[in-house]
Amino acid sequence: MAKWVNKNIKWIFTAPTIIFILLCVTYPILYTLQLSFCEWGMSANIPKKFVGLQNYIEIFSDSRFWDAFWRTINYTLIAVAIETILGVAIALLLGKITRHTGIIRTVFLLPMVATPVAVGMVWKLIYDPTIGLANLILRKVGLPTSAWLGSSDTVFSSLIIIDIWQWTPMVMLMVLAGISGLGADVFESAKVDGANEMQLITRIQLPLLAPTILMAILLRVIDALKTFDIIYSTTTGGPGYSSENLNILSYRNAFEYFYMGKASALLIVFFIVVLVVAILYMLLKARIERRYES
Amino acid sequence: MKNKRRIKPKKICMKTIFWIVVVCIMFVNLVPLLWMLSASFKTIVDIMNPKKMFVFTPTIKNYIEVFTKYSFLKPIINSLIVSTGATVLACLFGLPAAYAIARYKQNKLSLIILAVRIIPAITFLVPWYIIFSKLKMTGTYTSLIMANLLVSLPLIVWIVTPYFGSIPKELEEAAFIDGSSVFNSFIRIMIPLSAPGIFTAAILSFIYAWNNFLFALILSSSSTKTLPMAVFNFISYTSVNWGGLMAAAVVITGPVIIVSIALQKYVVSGLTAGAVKG
Amino acid sequence: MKKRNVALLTGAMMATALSVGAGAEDAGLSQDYAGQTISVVVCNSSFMEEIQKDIGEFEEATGINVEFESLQDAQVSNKVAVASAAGGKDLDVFGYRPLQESLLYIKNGWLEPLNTYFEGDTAFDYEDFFESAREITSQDGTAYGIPYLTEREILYLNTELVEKAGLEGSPKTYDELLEWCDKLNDPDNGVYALALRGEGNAAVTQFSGFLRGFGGDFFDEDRNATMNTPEAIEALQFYGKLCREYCAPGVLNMNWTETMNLFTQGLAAMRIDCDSQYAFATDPEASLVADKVGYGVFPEGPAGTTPFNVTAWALGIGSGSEHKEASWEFVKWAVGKDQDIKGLVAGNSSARTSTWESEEAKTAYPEQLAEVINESNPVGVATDRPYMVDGGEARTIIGELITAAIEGISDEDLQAKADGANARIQALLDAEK
Repeated sequence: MAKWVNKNIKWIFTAPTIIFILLCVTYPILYTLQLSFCEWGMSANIPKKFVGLQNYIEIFSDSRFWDAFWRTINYTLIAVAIETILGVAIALLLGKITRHTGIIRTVFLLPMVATPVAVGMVWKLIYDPTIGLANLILRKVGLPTSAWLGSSDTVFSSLIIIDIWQWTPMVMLMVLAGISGLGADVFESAKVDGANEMQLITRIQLPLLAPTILMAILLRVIDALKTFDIIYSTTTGGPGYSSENLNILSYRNAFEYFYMGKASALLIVFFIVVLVVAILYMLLKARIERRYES
Repeated sequence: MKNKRRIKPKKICMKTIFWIVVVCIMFVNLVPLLWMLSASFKTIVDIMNPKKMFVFTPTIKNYIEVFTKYSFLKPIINSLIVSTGATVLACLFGLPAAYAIARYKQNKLSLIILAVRIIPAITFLVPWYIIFSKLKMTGTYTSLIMANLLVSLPLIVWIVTPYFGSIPKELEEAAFIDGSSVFNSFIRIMIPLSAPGIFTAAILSFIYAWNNFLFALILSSSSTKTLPMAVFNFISYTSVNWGGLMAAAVVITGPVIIVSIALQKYVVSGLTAGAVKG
Repeated sequence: MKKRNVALLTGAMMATALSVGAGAEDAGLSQDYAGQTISVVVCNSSFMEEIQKDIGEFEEATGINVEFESLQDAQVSNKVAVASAAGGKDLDVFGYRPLQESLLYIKNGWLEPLNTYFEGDTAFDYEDFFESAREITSQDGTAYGIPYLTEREILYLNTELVEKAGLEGSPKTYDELLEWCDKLNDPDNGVYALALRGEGNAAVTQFSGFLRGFGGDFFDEDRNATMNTPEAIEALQFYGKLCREYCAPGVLNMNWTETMNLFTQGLAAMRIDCDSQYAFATDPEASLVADKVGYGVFPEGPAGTTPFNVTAWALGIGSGSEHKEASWEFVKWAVGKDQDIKGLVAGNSSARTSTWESEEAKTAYPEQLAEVINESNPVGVATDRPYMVDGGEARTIIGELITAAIEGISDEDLQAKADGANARIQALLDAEK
């Protein structure tokens, strides 16, 4: 018996996880896939009606979907780009500090761990055009005020600001961890060679940190594509559809209009989008890493 | 000391600017949370009044309301049960899997687990509700814990695998020679040696489960409602109690923030675990 | 008057005679379902808070356990939909918004017909509910829900600002409304003439009063969408102008909470929205203008005075429920005459005639508001949004038009947009036939 256990230990050890994934993940995905070819108003009394590809055709011919699609992509690109630049810059700045690192890290940690729906409510109040903190500050420094979440022109950038506030710290902390892993001797020898500060950063630190930065970007990209809680608790997609990403659009189709079939099709498309982006990114990352290694 | 300073005034100046910049960045980071904290001590009228932005008479009425009128104790307990349950279960499932991935190079499994992380959570809500309903388990802690496992399990595997991988095989092999089974050496050697990594992953899984809103929205019932759901108690059909809402936000984020401050080292290394994996 | 006193007296005597769980016994609650557990999902409101407080009395009187859950409005329908998709076993009593959910819920078979439950129950007195409220919760003579929250579109006034501008009473017509707006608007001092919902989807209901006021509607009797008629365009442009020129910046994201904040902070002289929210405006802890709130009837448009007068919430019983009788006991108690009056005192706009005529109503509601309500009731239109199965999506489409109108758009461009929107609404209407 013991021998059998030892021999098959890798299956025994992975069994609970595999069973969980088969039961709780595979079934819902197959169910969703099946629903995406049906029309169903979420009533147990009215059977699902098979409609073939109609849901997909409807989605792809709907400008609202394409708006949400590009909004999702743009949101991710812009937010993650800014977060990466800011995060790396701040990390390089703080990388020099040897004292008080605990306090500094803690401060940067907080936006990330604070409950998103609660944070969303706080930002909603901050962004309030008449009574909010944001416009109060703008007024104090004599700048024109903004409608923030209130206008389809500014809602997108207002949400990105929240995302940046919340997630720049993650990139920053990851890079900071990377810096501390590099050790001091690399720099010392470079300094001896007469390299200046800028050269130190661009020629030595950044290349060495590249894998860390790329990993941070990957994790951020996946999460930014799936942003939900913050948008749900601030605008739920409004004004109009102007802050609707694919996740919110799927949610509204399912739980606001009860178009379960269409929502399922949307979710499948959405999943494929995230998957493709993740795979593309991983391929790119592998390529860059190979170049650095050689 | 004094001499040195006199010699390099430029450096001191640079250093001051440096610290001012650092403090400014940190302050910007904290503003929304400080704003939340201050609003939680204001009456609704004062929250709405820009003139009372900084100077106001603090009141703890909102907090009293949170615990008496809206009985927040129950959701706090529910959140604790669900977050702890999900974390424990994720460890039970995830640690052996992480070990198998690290030792037997089961990369396919690790890819599948990564894919789970990518699936939009909405996909699960309706099918899961239907399953739980058939099992007569809707609105139970079990259903919420299972749902949160979806986030916690990949997290545990993701973070702990490299820790297991970094432990030299020789240690285990020595144990095998002494007649220890794989299972025994896993419990006696691998887990204690990876304790910091496991602790890190567990804290993070707890925080994510604590913050989760979407699963609770669909799967919880009145008796298992978790904290993120309870925020919406303050938004009624005909009025919004902003003061209570902000106090609730403080109550909800408070524990997570305290845990993060106390266990800062672990939380940071958890969140940056991607870097460890490379 | 005398009759009611007698009735009250008998009720009181009976209660004393039975001397168990007073109040509850009046409604004729039964112990037959003791031991059953029912789940109740409703939307947060002052009335439901009151019910939650008293739920122990109900449990004691009937022996039924109640799992009471109170959520935000949209979350209630999320719950109902998901639970119904799974067969509805977990869903006993729930709140719903008749105007946007009745047709869909009935079509999907989610609501239990209630006639057999209340017929012959004189204590419950179904006929006591407003006729319009009974109509909107019924289909072909079958009642599917019991209305409990009604609301009308009215004008809130900041009496201090109105007096300062040398005005009196309230604007009676759209032209007067514009005049008042011109006089009251003072953006340099941060005070705006009007607070109006500008967030497209949310604005649809408040816009409906103007749409009808100009002689338009969402669709006609033959279910032809009419959102691109000259009347509709005129109403859209008028509503857009009001929001753009007389409301605070950021109007496009304003739902009722934002406009309420502006009003309670004294930053808006007038506000058009539902009367059901009055308690917040007159609460000194929530409002700086608590003692300066005036009320006016929604102004008259070219086609008449057309505020909405709607049933916002009703209680229904799930058709898949396994405890229908126990559920009915709860509904009977919760929206029975006694609890309903308690709700009114807590600030709920009841759907019961007897509640409004009660002694409590005379002191619970501000006098001027009561007058406005009485005046709005007979002229009010029973719907404030497209009343159709896919009302949710139609509402979003109309919301887009409102957003465009507020952002300032030429008549031609708006016409083009409205033609497109109309076609989409028509497609939704056709799909329902």
